[in-house]
Amino acid sequence: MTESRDDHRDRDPLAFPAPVKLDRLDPARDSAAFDRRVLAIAADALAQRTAAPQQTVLGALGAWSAPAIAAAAAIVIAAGVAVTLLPLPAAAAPASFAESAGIARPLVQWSADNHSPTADELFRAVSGRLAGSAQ
Amino acid sequence: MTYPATEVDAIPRAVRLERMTGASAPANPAATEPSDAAAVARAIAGDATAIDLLVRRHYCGVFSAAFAVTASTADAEDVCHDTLVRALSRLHECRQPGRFAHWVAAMARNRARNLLAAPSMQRRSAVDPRTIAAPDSPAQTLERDELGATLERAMSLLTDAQREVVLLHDLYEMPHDEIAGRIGTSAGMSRQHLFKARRQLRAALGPDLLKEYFDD
Repeated sequence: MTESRDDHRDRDPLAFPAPVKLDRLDPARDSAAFDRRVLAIAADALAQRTAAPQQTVLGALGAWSAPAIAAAAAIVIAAGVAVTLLPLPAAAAPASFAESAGIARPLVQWSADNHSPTADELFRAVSGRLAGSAQ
Repeated sequence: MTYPATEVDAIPRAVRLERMTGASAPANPAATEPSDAAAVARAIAGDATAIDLLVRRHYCGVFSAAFAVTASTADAEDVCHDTLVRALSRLHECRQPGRFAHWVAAMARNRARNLLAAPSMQRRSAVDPRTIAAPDSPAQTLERDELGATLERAMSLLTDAQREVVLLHDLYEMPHDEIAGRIGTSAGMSRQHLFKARRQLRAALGPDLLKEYFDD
């Protein structure tokens, strides 16, 4: 029996090994079966594309806006229920325009009552105001 | 032990390679199939012949990517079918139609990995090299192509990269630089994978079985 070139190759660790025949693994080996597989894939792909709804800008916006609107509605409803049911903290008396402008309350009161303050009253009102603003 | 005669290739390898690359230089432009980019554009527009063309052109490349992960022809064919159907129904997501082959092969690898990670596939374990030449049972031997099953078991001993390289190079005669681009490595590394794959396959098949698989 004569040694083939590949017997030498197998013994030589540096020689590039000869290829092994891999045709049995080739999915296109049986052309009829391969054609059937190709047709099945193409048919399935076309069917999926037909079944899937066409994505349009309006469609995408609609798909996005529906849950967003639902979430916003839920938040509004929850906020309304909370405002209705939860007790509000005791509200402070609303400040008048003069008070919010920084004028001391006694001065406003005197003005309303047409009262002429004495120098002492005026001093206490203004010093109280100054003391309050210093804090 | 006798084996059935090897079937004659239905499609010449050079034709298969040309179909797989999708970018071959046209000898006669009038008779040339469209490039991948053109075929993808036509398929998006609903051209059924372009879809058929893409499937035929890329089936073997997708199969190689899937087989590299699963090491099973049956599983690889399932992955191949699912991947191509999914890819062709979502062609608008392919950002670089000229690189359709890479896109769909990456999709196949991911799908194959997901398949192996599924609980039903956990029974799979590393193949014992001593079982390479031993058929599972007489009944199974009758049902399956014994040579193909033996070769499949030998292939399962290789790494994923070795399996993909040896399939693309030795079955589809794809050059190393193109293989390197497909699997994300260098041409030199592709040669290295091929060297190790061939040596391991020859060792696993043994001298008796190797006569049935040797390509001379």
